[in-house]
Amino acid sequence: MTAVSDIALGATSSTDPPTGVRPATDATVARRRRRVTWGFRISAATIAAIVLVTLIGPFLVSDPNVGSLSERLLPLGSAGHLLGTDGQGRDVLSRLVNGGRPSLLAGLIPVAVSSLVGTALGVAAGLSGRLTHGAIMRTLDVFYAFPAVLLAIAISAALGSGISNSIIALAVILIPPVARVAETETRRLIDLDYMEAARASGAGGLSIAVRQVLPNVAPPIIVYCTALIGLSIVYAAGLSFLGLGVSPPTAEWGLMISDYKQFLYSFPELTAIPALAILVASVAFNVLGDGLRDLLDVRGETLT
Amino acid sequence: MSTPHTSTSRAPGPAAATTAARPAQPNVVLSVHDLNTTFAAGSRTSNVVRGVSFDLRRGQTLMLLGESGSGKSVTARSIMRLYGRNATITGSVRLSGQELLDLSADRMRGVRGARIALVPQDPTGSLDPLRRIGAQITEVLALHNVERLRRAGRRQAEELLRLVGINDPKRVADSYPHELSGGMRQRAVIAIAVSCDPEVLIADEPTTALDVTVQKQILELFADLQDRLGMATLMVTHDVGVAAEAGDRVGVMYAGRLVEEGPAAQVFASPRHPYTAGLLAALPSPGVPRGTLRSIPGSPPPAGAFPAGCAFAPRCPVARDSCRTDDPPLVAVAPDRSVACPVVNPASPSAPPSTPTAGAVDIPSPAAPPADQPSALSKGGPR
Amino acid sequence: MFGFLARRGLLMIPILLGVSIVIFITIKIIPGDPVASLLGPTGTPEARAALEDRLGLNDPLPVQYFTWLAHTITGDFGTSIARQTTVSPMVFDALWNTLILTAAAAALALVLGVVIGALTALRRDGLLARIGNAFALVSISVPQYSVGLLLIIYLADDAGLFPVSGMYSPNGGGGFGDLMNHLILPAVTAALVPAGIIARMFRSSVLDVMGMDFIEALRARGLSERRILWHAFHNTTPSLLTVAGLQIGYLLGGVVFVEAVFSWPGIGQLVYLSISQRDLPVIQAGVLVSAFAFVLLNLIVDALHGLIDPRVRTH
Repeated sequence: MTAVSDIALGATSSTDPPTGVRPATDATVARRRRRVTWGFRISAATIAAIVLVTLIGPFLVSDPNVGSLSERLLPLGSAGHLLGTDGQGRDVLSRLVNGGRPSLLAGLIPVAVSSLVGTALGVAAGLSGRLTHGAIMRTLDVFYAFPAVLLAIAISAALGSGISNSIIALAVILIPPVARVAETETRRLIDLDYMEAARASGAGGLSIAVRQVLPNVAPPIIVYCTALIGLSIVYAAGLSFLGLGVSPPTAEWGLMISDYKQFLYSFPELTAIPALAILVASVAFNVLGDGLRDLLDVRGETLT
Repeated sequence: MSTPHTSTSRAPGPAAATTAARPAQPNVVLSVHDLNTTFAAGSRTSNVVRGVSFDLRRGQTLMLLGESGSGKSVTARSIMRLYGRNATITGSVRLSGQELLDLSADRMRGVRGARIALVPQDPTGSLDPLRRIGAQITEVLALHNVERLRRAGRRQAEELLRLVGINDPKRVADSYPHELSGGMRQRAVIAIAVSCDPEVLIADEPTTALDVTVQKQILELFADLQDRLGMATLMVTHDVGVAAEAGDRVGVMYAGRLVEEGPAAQVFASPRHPYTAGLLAALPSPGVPRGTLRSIPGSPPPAGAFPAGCAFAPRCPVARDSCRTDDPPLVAVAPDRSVACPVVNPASPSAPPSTPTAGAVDIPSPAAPPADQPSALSKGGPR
Repeated sequence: MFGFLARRGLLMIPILLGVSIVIFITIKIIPGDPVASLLGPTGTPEARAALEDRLGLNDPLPVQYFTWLAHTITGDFGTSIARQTTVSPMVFDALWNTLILTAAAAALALVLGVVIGALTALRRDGLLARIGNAFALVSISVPQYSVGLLLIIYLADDAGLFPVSGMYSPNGGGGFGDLMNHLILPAVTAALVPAGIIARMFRSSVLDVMGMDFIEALRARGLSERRILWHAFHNTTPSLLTVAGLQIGYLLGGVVFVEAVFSWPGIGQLVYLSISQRDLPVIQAGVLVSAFAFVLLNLIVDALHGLIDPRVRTH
């Protein structure tokens, strides 16, 4: 676009009229400035609080695995048991706090692994010639052909239950989408002039990848992966819920839901408490992703 | 060419009076008077078009020439009332005597596309990518001529495509926009624009997105259509070459104001306003070696943040102290020519237009800048 | 158009082959001893060798793969370890049930997503738009299994509005109404996440289109706002289709949780039950037919895409 638009700043308000009348593209560009949104602040604070609780909390609460049957199924707000006790008389608050670490790690590690592997694959595919590009992308297409959750379930079922196997399974299903984002961004970058200049100056493939491509593809990937963390936490807890994650008696949010669903009719809050924890953590990472998108000025919607 | 009907030979009055109340002139299709457009952004407002007035006559092409941010495109769109609620448009826009700014939104819709049509800058962007060209033409035909049958509309669509110089209108009508070349798309857009035989055609940078060779053809097409259909054309451009080649009259805009207006040949031969002079001096021309080109120092103010007084004063080589406080009005300096600059306007506005008006303004005389060297004014300037 | 479809169809073949290879490899890397579990505790080494031979486990891997593939293509998925019956009828019945649930959830998600997306895009500052935005944000983060459970408590058990589980009531006669009644809660639960994603994507897609130059061009041609909106929505359909296609894949997998919670007799529940029994042939068959259904659905989405967007057809 060679838009020689007549309006620079300020022609459009941040609140466009309902029909979206936008005088010119420049104005739209100007509207998308980097900014720190309130959502970003609140979600970052929430995540910091959750992390703090999972790190320090276990030292402040009672042993999550000790309970007496005389104290089973105490209601919310009982003396000494703020969130009550479960079917084995174990303190729910203690299990919730202690369950935070495995629940979060089982969501975070797969994203960390897949963001590294996926970025490497995507950038490599984006920078290489037809043959390698085709080989990498078609292989990823195969993984795309599986309904993701089902594939994760199949992989963890095949490997056997256990938190490390659930992490492997989730990492496998998250690599293809990350790689696709990285590939798209890399391809977009290659068309730009300065890449041409870098190549013309005789820079090698690896040097281009590290110096030119990575800094530029990083923001969209960071935004995307942040939103993936929310998804990954939900999936990880889901695998535990199905009996594919941590094994009892370890405290973990998904497993708690699965444990407590037998009391669903009499004590629904037992199921709701860990569910709420998962929801809050997941929403927080999704909002953080949105906030990062505004902060890093990445275009487009994060697709989860 | 320019055929100004100045047979009334009105005597140019005192400077201040001429901007207001001009007598109705024959053949004036579009009369814009004291047009102001203000955009509201939250609590801020920015006045992007400031008191623009001009007349457009039948069969005539007026070029609005200016840099990015000068308000030329907003002027064009304000005439069609294309902005939403965040824009306030005041003044007067008369189309064949009818005041457009007073029309209801509904009746204004009936004017758009039928009596005033727009050819936007980017032909690719201005067509619906998912619909065939033929359907996009018939849609407008059906919209403004309700009783017409679909089949007749289709035949008319093909005729219109032939009119804009397309040899195989059947194929083009059946094509989707992405299947056509840029030039073909622009022809299709022009076909849609002239489909309802408008009185005024507004073209916003119609050639900017095109190759140089295609640019020339499209400009020729505009001239040809004007001859055949007799409409008036308001063309917005930042390209002095295009303005010189295709304009009968030219209006130079700076910072939301019309600073100079007159017959294209005269304005380019002897620019009066220091800004116009500066623009022309910055042009490459055959006689002048490239090294001696000079650009106007400084950069134009951002839209809506115009300084007090004459907005050009901070960059003007001949500015006086009064220029920084008083915003000069557009004053007739000769029959059919007006300039908004008190410095170059001698006390007697009846001075012949050919007289070099101000010794202080260094005016090179590139008779008509070569059109094959399009110069994007707004591109190179320091930002 | 036909050529376009044929090309896309041909592209599916290598992908399906890839899918089969991935599944075959997962069979092979599984720890544990399938022969021992088939043989039972009384197996002698001779019987073991004979069985290994019969199962082709001593053949080279590629031969094993092609033997397995030949069986799979003809719909022979082997025998369930837990139930000692052939896997195929079980899996295809379950697939059909899953498709019913997926279709209902997809339709619901599409309607909800489009309505919320359009609302939040066109009325950006209204109260309803804010609620819509909040809904979209929360719903994409929701753990479906717990939402399903909570719906069961409050709408099925407490309010008695809907049945708690299954597809048909034992004494309900198995009619269409009975099915619909059982379908609502699982479909709503399954639709939540995709509805939120579609809403967010559709919102940004509407905003993108409304910011495009041709919208102003249409306005300049004198079209009414309603008509312009129609053009705009028409232009969002390609991206809507893309998202919808992705979400169907999400649903096909995501329904596992929903089916497990609502005891919906689909692939998900089948796989879920088979996990605890370590019934690998059933798990593999379930994943394979789901992937196959997903690939086919993608082909349909592609066809629709080509139908709607002429630019896709020519490229």
